[in-house]
Amino acid sequence: MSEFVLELRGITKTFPGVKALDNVQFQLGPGEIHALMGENGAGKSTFIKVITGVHQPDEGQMFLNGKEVNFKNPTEAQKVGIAAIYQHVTCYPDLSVTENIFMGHEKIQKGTRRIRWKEMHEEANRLLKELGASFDAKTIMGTLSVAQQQMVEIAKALSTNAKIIIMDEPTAALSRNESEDLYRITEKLRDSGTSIIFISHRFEDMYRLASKVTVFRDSKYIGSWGVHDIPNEDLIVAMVGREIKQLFPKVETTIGSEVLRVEGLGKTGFFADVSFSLRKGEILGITGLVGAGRSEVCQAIFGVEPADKGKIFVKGVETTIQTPLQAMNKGIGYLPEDRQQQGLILSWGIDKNITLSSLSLISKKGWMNRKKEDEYANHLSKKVNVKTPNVANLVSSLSGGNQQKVAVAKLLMTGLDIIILDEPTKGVDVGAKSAIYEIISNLAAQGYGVIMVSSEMPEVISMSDRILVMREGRITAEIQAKQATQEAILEAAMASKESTEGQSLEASGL
Amino acid sequence: MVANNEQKGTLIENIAKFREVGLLGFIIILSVVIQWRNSSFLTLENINDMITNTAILSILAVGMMLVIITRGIDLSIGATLALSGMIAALTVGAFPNLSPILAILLGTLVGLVSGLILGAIISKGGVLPIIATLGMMYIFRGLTFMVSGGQWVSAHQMPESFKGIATGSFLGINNLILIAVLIYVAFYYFINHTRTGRQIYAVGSNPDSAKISGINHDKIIWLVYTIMGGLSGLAGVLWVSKFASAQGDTASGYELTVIAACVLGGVNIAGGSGKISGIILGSVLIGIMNNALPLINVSPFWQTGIQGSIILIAVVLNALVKRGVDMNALMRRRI
Repeated sequence: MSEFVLELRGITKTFPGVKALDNVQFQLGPGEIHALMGENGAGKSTFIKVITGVHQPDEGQMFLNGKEVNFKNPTEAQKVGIAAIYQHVTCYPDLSVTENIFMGHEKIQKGTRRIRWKEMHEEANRLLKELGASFDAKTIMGTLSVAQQQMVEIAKALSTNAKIIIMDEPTAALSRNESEDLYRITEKLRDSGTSIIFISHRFEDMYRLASKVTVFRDSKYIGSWGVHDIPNEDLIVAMVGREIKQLFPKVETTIGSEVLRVEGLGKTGFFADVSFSLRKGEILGITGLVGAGRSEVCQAIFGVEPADKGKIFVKGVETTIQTPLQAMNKGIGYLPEDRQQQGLILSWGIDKNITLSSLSLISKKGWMNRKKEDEYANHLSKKVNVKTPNVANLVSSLSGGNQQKVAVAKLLMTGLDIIILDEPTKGVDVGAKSAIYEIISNLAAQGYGVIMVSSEMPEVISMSDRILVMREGRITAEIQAKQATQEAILEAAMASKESTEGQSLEASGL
Repeated sequence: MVANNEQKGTLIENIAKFREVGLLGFIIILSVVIQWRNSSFLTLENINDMITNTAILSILAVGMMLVIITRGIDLSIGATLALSGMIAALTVGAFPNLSPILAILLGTLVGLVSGLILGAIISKGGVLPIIATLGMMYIFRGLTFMVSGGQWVSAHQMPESFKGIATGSFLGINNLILIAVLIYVAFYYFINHTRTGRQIYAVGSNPDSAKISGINHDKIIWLVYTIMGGLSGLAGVLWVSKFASAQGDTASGYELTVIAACVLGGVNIAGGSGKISGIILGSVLIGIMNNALPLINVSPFWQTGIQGSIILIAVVLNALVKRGVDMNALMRRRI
């Protein structure tokens, strides 16, 4: 008999081109709340999916109560009592709470195959009451708040008699009071003997709840400690302490006059009090955890989702930007984070993609000049070095890195002063990454003001001149890149709620 | 292996590229079979009849293609057609000396205004196209009965000059065919060689990307429904002139035939793609089926079933080819 409820040894999982988990281990004791921490992309989500049977590991063993198990699909994991609650609640918004709780394991009358509603409602209400919920099981899911929906998810886990519950960033979308409720419920579950794996970016959650913490970094297992046996600083080093391997061809540039300034920019529910300035030839890095509001700020400046508070000054002149077209006319360009969804039209040729946002340059009185289009497309795709025999080829036939280059080429076609790059190297292999860094560097050298949003700290520190750190919709620190350390950035990105007040005051006084 | 993939790629791509050729081949085979069963099929008179019938259908299909490319649908065109046809017929009935050109312009204008209202509801009001056009379908149909007082306008109430729009010819070619060809040419250039045309495809292929590329999404949506309305208005006048009768229920349900022609012609109902050459062939195929199935003594009970089967087969084939093309693009990726 093993002393652990769940134990994983030497788990390796490879996806085409990426090693998502590399010889990872993990041990979960009975009635334990175990925090799993690590940066974005450290492999936590893949790890969870291995435990819940969504992915099958390439190597390694998994033991449940000392017995080896192999899950071929999520149903098998569910049957032995493993349940997961995801960051984004995966509910059916138009169905009732009862239906959501019993989805997939409804109580069925033998013989007639009729659903036993009354029993299900009673059982659902009993579970909800146990969790201290104040709503009825017949309520429609979509009318509940995120916190209440999460309660339903937990009730769902309990209804399957789960012995192990995995919570993936459950507090990310919750307010302070709602988080307290969740802590209370989680502790109650622990006391009744359920083991819980708790993933969170908040140290606060970890100190409040967990007794043990395991850290992953770059798909590898770094270590496990008792929560109070390791100093906070050491934990941060464990999470980020990697060498910077890639090549960052940062060119020294002379930084010129101010091209963009935002003052007190805010959008209800997304970000508030965002103020900063950007100068000619400067690369301004914006970093923070996923969901900190970085992309939203960029989209507001570009007019995709306009801000509802604050001022934007382009070259010292106050301007209103409500649509992307207005932003482009003011000389602002934007490379969206999701190039496949927002940046490019995959079913189109490279040439048509490059010219799409600046059709006026290749047309006269509404008529397009195909020859001119071809010239522009060829010139620009060579400039950013897109690897293709012909610019008429479909974008969908290119690799991720080359697709990103096409998206950059599209930006270069319009006469811009300010370029906003949202996660420019996301999903791009190392070789293409350094090519993209070189392009970014050259853009700054040519006098563009560049804003680079990124979660990858080595990239931010090496490429930027100045770094803004955001957390929960506010700027929590501004650091000169030369003095920046990964630890300082992570601290500003993750600091617990109490310590924010002072910092955000500092930030708004910029 | 690589060479093999490339070869397979070009084959599938060629099928996709020459989808129209396949459709044309099918039309030819169908014509030969029908001609073999009934020799009156390929007579000059019957062909002329068939093509003039197809002309109106294909004019509407041009507009419908633009709408579908933007991921929309327009169910109101049958009603718009009836309303503008009725207004034109009533007007020429009251003023028999009115120039037929003016009658055409009047009908087109009525259609344009209908489309303008519809487009505003969809683009500015944010109503789903299928709902907005369903509602407007009933409104326009109701208006048609209201302006006519429930009466028909029949042949003897229309001046010869008006009926001459559809029966007359220029340089030996029927006017309807001339008008249809003019529209094909104009719209071919519009969608392939103008900025707006490119933007219509962009909005349909990827609305998010189009928005970030600085394209005014609402304006494009508004525009395509207005164009659709204008073409329906024009078709209304042609229809009433051709059949020499304007009724409250003119072209009731015809929107579905138009959508079928688009689908047969390779217009992707999910938006983003469609070609003029495709919808011409799609319209011709529907025209042939309508005309020829009765000629070869297919029971009327079977006709619609056969038409439906042909549409489904065409769409399934299209989906299979598209899957092949997508797969191929992924295989050729240099990872």
